[in-house]
Amino acid sequence: MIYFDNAATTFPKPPCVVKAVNEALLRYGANPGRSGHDLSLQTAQKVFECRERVGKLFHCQPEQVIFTKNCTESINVAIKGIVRPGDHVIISDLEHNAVYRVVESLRRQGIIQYDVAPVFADDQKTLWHFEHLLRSNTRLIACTHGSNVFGFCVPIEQIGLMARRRGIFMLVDAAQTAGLLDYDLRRMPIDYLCMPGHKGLYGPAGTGILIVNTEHLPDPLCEGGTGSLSMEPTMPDFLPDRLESGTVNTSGIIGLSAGVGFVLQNTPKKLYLHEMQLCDYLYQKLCGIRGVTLYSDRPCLGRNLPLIALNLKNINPETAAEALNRHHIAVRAGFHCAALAHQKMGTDRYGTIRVSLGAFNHKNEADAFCMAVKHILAGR
Amino acid sequence: MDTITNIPVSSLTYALKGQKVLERYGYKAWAGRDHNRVSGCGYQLTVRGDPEKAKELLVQYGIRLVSQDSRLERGGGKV
Repeated sequence: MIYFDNAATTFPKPPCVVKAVNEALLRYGANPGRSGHDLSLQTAQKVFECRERVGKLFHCQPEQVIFTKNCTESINVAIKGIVRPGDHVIISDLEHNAVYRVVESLRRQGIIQYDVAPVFADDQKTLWHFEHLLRSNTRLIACTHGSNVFGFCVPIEQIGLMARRRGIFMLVDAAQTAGLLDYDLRRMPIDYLCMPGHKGLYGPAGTGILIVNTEHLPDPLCEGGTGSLSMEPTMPDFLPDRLESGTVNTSGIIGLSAGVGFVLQNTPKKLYLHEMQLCDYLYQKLCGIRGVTLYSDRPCLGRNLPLIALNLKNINPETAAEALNRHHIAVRAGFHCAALAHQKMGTDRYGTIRVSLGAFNHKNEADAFCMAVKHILAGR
Repeated sequence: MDTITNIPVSSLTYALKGQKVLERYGYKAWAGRDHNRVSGCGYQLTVRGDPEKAKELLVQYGIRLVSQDSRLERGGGKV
């Protein structure tokens, strides 16, 4: 099978991740942060090691790293924990439903109002539109770093600087960029960085991270046991405990730790370069096939992500994805949980096919993909 | 002979971070459970060496210490 669905979750996982999860289930079976016996403390040590590695990758302190079950949960925790009744929020027109549905739900409950800022190829134009939507009660800008459908990157640093100058919080959805693009939270104007553990960080499914990079701690979305201050009726006011109630996903986190180790060893820069070179090769080959409509830009470092949105002439994307599956090629078709992005690009009627690359893809797979596309277009 | 001191910290994460910080500065330190916390479950660092310098280092690295007042007297409970 050729796996070109890495934007949904990366596969295969590096062998070190498989080994770490196996070892976690065999050797680190106690509940970390609850008891004082050796096994509990050893397990806690492994969980802490993951926080340290994430801290090394994103240049933050280990206690700033909050474990969640996925990027969506991280975004929910951050947005719902920050906004207050009467606040205004700005999002981009490339947002995944993980952001869009959260703010829409808060609007319907009468808690907030929000606006959608368009993203353009010209960063200054994008910035102008974000700035133009600011109000006196704007509390938060929540913005994806890169579209999960079309691969366009958003100038989050410039938007974040503008937000910081005005005392507005900046949340970045790094679902498609964590592990691929460099982040230095010591200098980048990001207050809340949300990411999955199972995509570009190569951890197991069921892992996610929220990095809180400001003194302003969100109110917890979920209250419960933290293994600290247990006789107090309220959640602790320190991280990570404030936002991590209940037992964490120990085996997932230990696997994630190995995944982050894999990224640190290979470096985001090299992984991004490898995937972008392959993406460009595939893009150029697809350009030469009659009947292929491409919606993504030609891959450009720093401007795009290693994914391509396309359609095949007169074939519904879902049908095309089924046909590709018969050729043993895994892609995702449809709307990719991103209504706003499809509306923006005019693909909201049928959706698109998304080809998304990962660290383990190779040129021969790109060749096989193009061959399969030609066969499908020829009706074979 | 080196002094052995228990330094209560606000969470297990801080205890583990503190352990690494102190080890980097040549201390022997262990993270473990604090059995004497008024506010319930908590963790502490057991440190061999100068406790005041160790505390200074911990604070310098952003580790939140817990005051001794918030701990129960050993062998007794707070009434």
